[in-house]
Amino acid sequence: MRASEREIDEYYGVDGDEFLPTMLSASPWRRDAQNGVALGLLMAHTLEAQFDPSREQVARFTLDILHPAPFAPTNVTWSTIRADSRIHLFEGKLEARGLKAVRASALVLAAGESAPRTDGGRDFAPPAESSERELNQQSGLNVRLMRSGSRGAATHSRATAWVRVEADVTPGEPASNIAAAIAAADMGAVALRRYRDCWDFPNLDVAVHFVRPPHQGWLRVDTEPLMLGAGVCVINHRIFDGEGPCARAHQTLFFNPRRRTSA
Amino acid sequence: MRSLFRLEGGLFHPLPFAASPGAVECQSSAAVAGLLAREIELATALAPLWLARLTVEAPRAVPMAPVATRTRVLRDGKQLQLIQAELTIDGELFADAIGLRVRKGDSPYDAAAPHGLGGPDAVSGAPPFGVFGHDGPTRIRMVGGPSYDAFAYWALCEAGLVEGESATTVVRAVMACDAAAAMSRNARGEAACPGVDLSLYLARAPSGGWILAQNEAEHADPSCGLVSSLLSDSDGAFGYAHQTLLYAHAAD
Repeated sequence: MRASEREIDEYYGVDGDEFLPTMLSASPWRRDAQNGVALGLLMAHTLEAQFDPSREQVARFTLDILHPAPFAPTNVTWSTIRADSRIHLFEGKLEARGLKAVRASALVLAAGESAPRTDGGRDFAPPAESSERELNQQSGLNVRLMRSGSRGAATHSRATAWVRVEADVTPGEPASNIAAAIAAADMGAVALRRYRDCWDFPNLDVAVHFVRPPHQGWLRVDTEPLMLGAGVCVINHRIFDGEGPCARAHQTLFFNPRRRTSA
Repeated sequence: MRSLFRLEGGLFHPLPFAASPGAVECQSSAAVAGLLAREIELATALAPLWLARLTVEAPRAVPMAPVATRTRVLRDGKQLQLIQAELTIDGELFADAIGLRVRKGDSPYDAAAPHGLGGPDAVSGAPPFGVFGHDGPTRIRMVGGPSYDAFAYWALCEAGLVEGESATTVVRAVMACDAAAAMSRNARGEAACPGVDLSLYLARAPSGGWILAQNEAEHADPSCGLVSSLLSDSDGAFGYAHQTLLYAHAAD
C-alpha cells in the first residue's frame, strides 16, 4: 500500500519517554489493546538502541505477552542481564497504564569478521497479486499472501506471505531489518483462516532465531502450523530475504472455541 | 537407575552423569536445561497445565557444584501460566529459563506428516563426532550418514534427572534435543561452545522415551550459527527446538 493511502504513518507517537499508540497499533481482537505486530516492532526498535548494530547482531528475540497491553501511553525499558566480549543478554519490559504487559529477552552476539551487510542485497520483490488489502490498511504492513499447500511437518494450512513494513515505528524512524523480521513473524494467523469462524486463537508469544540480520525490504515468510489438538498451535516460520534464508521463528497460538452470540 | 543430580539439603548436587562431555569440570547444558525444565513443570499451578514452550538462557558455564533453583510466576491463571526458573550457585545466577504452560483444551488436529525415517530399532549409527561418551546419560543413534549441517538422530535419555525420580517426557525431550548443538560444526569444522541457549516449542507433550531430532545447522559466519530441530516421537512430529551456536575462535 502506498503511504498516501494510509491516514497514519507510524505505529507510535512519542512524548518524552512515552510511546503513544496510534490506530495502527490497535488490536484486531479488542480495540482497547495494542496488537502484537506493533508491540514487537516497538520492543525491537527500543532494543536496537541498546547496542551498536555495526558491531553486534541479534541472534534471538523472544517476546511474551503477559497481558493485553492497554491502548494507552506506553513505557519500555531494557536492562542488561549479562555482557561480555561475545554475548549481550537483554531483558525488556513494556508497561502501559501501570500494567506490565510484555516481557522480552534478546541474545545479542558480537558480529563476526565476515558478518553480512544488512543493506542492499539483490532485488527481492514479490509478485503483485494477492495483496492483503484489508490487513494492510489496518496494520501498516504490506502483506501479499501467495499460496497455501501441504508440505513439511504439517499436512495442511501451509502458507507463504511476503511482508514489508510500510509505516514508521515512530515518526521519521522506519522499522529496522530486525524489527521487520519480528513483525513478519507475527503472520501465523494467515495460515489459519479456515478456523476463524469457530475458534479464537490469540498469540501468546513470538520468538525469532536469526541466522544473520535480514536485508532491508521485502521478506518472504513460509508458514506452517503444527496443531495436534492439545490446546495450542505452534506456528513454524522460515524467513527469507533476497539472499536466502535468514531466520526461523515461532508463535504459540492459544485456541479457544469462539463464543457464538444469538441474533 | 543412575541420575544426574542428587537433591540434598535443598540443593541439587551434580553427579558424574551431569558433567559436560567436553569439559568435565562443568555441568552439561543438557543437565542445566533439564533441571530448569523440571522446576517449571513442578511449579504450583491453579489447574493442570503442560509445558508448551521453554526458553533456556545459559550464557556462562555452570561448574560442577551444588546448585539452587527458584521459580517465580510472571503470568498466572487456570488456562496458562508463564514461569521463570533460575539456577544459582551461592546466590549467583548462572542460567535461567522461561516456561509457558497451558491447559490441555480442545483445538484443531492436523496430523503431522510422517518423518519417513527408520525407528530407533532400525538404525544403529553411533554419534560420529566423539562428543558423547560411550557411557553417557543419553543413548544416541544416528540416522543416515554423518553431516555437519543436516543430520538426524534418535535419542533416549536413560538416566534419571534427579535421584529417586523418573524424568518426565518433556525433560527427556529437552535433554535429547540439546545434543544437536554438540554435533554441529562451522565451516572450519570447529565445535560450538556449550549451550548458549535452547528453545523448545511444543504442539503437544512428547510420549515414550525415544526422541527423533531432525536437525539443520546454518552459519552465515564462522563465529556463530543456529541449529534447528524438528522433534518427533513414535507418534510423529510434536515440536521444534533451536540453539544458538557460538564458536570459540572468534574471540581470538
